Amino acid sequence: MLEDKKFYLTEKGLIRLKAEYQHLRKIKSFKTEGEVPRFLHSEDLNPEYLSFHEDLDLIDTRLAEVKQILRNVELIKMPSKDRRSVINLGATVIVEVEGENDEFQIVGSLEANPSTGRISNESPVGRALLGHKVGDNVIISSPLNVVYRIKKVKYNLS
Amino acid sequence: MNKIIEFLIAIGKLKKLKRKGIMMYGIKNPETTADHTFRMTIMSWLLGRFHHLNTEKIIKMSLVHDLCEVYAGDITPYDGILPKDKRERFNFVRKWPRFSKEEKKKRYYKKIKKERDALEKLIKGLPKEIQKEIINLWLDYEFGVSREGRFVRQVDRVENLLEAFECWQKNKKFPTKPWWQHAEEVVDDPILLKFLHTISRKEIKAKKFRETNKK
Repeated sequence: MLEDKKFYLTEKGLIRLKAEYQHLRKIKSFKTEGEVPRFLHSEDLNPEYLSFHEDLDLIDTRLAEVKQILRNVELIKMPSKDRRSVINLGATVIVEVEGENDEFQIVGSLEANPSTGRISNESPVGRALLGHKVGDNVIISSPLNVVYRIKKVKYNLS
Repeated sequence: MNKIIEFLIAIGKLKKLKRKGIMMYGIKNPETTADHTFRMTIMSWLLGRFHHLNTEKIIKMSLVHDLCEVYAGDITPYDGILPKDKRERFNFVRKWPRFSKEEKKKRYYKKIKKERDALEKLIKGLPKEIQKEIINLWLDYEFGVSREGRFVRQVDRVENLLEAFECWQKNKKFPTKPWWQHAEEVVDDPILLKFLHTISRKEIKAKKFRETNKK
């Protein structure tokens, strides 16, 4: 259940989430006082979740969710030097699949968006790659076996 | 009321908009965007119950997730990179397209911009609060902001895979491989993984049965 789940976040993801939490709290207090917050027009705010903030019910639901995440968050840390050749959470991996190069970063479920190159450590591909290193062939077996040949592993978590 | 009728007539086009991702494999009468939306909504509702998600939200989110296609069309991951040669194209679409992380981001934000503009154009005559709700639901789906958003985004891919599986059942030359490759990078929800596993077993069983009969 969500209550017991650990949420793995990169440092950037954690900063973003904490900022969102503060923004939501501010907007909520402005809204309950019936004022339009001036900072809503700031260019620093991510326009993608700007409109998300306009409904009080949505704010409350999201606040509860973010609070729950922050309570159970585990930061994805840079591994020690001798572990950096191994794929762990946070690793960016270049693989060769059927003769083509592909690149992903392995992140926790919350930050995953394969369309932008971030895949979840709980997805079949993410899970299978964990623990492997350059030169390994990882077979993902759905009805058809697909080989992921690991070409490069790097960590860029700052 | 006129504006609402205009909106409904516009989204009626989705009943005829054939899915490009299926057509590129030579399927003459593929499902439409409305067909996909219909089954995906039912799937979200049925499977979302296991997680105690907000049913109203996931049903609405599923209903609106592809509305933008009225003006943006059905954008596929192969857009802009398909070889001109017919034979090359035939082989090309049998693999999931691969990109660098930067290239993925570039293509994704270009798609998002096109779809957002299309969605805003489509809903501009609707009452303001409905416009806001539709945009919020779509943003939540696209960026996976809430639990519901992350779940519905994955159901979308699972419905696509189910459709590919059905196409393969009808015509064994239909390649399910790119659909599997994509689904296995996107899906991490335990219920949806179980769903995929069940389909996978069905496909393996059907293949074994076919091979045995060949002998």
